[in-house]
Amino acid sequence: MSEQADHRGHCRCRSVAMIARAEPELSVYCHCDDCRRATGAPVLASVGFPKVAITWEADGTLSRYREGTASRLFCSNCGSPVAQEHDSASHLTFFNTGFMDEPNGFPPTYHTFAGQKIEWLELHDDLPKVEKTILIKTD
Amino acid sequence: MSVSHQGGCRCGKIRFEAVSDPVFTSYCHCDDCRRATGAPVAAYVGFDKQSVQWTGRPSTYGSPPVERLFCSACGAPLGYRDARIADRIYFLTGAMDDPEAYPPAKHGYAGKQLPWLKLDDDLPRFAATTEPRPEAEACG
Repeated sequence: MSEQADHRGHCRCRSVAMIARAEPELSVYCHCDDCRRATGAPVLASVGFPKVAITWEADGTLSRYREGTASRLFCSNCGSPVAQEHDSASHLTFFNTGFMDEPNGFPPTYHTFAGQKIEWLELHDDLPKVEKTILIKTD
Repeated sequence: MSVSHQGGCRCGKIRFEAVSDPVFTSYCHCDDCRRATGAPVAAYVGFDKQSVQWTGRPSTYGSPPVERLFCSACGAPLGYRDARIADRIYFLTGAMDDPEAYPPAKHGYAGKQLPWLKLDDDLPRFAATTEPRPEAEACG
């Protein structure tokens, strides 16, 4: 039996904390306008874990804001953005890598909504770029 | 010609407008900015606090001197205030209506940049904060 790593994350005030007992299914950058508003940052990166492998150690202040086909999860006490849930990938929760205790461990493998990248963000890597998402059906 | 720099949260409950031009722009790579945005790096634009008008009241979190602002309805982070630089307010560029207008001029806490974030530019890099404070431990 292979050793299963625990991947942990928590918000700034620790009122929201979780453990994922599985390896992530994917890790992606997203340059869309919505992710920019939802984080305040020039680009978001997130890592998707199966919901069945996630244990919430603390979730008393975990709030959801839903718009379109996605919900954003955040801590209503400290305001830390936590994760996203997408209707088209409903078995996964996508945690913002900045919420994770070891963000170094989740290098993104794609740029999604690459056409909306901020021009001054000089991100130069060889990762594949897609115009929309690799998750959500767009037709 | 009147100056107007506007921004707000995702759900529209909180809006703000600065009627003077920015006095500061910077990336910040510190751990706290990462937690506060969820993102690999934050970028800020600073204004004179007295030139900013609000519609709606942001929630705040943080221990003095640094206080972060967000919308409690949609969770969107907005920026921060630092009591040691009390005449300024720093907005996240992603909270601005036109984020392209505020290219960062430097990198704060450059040593904490995530190794996979291949941000390759010629901007000056600072080991800690990019502006002097009495105790250097805040952001940007």
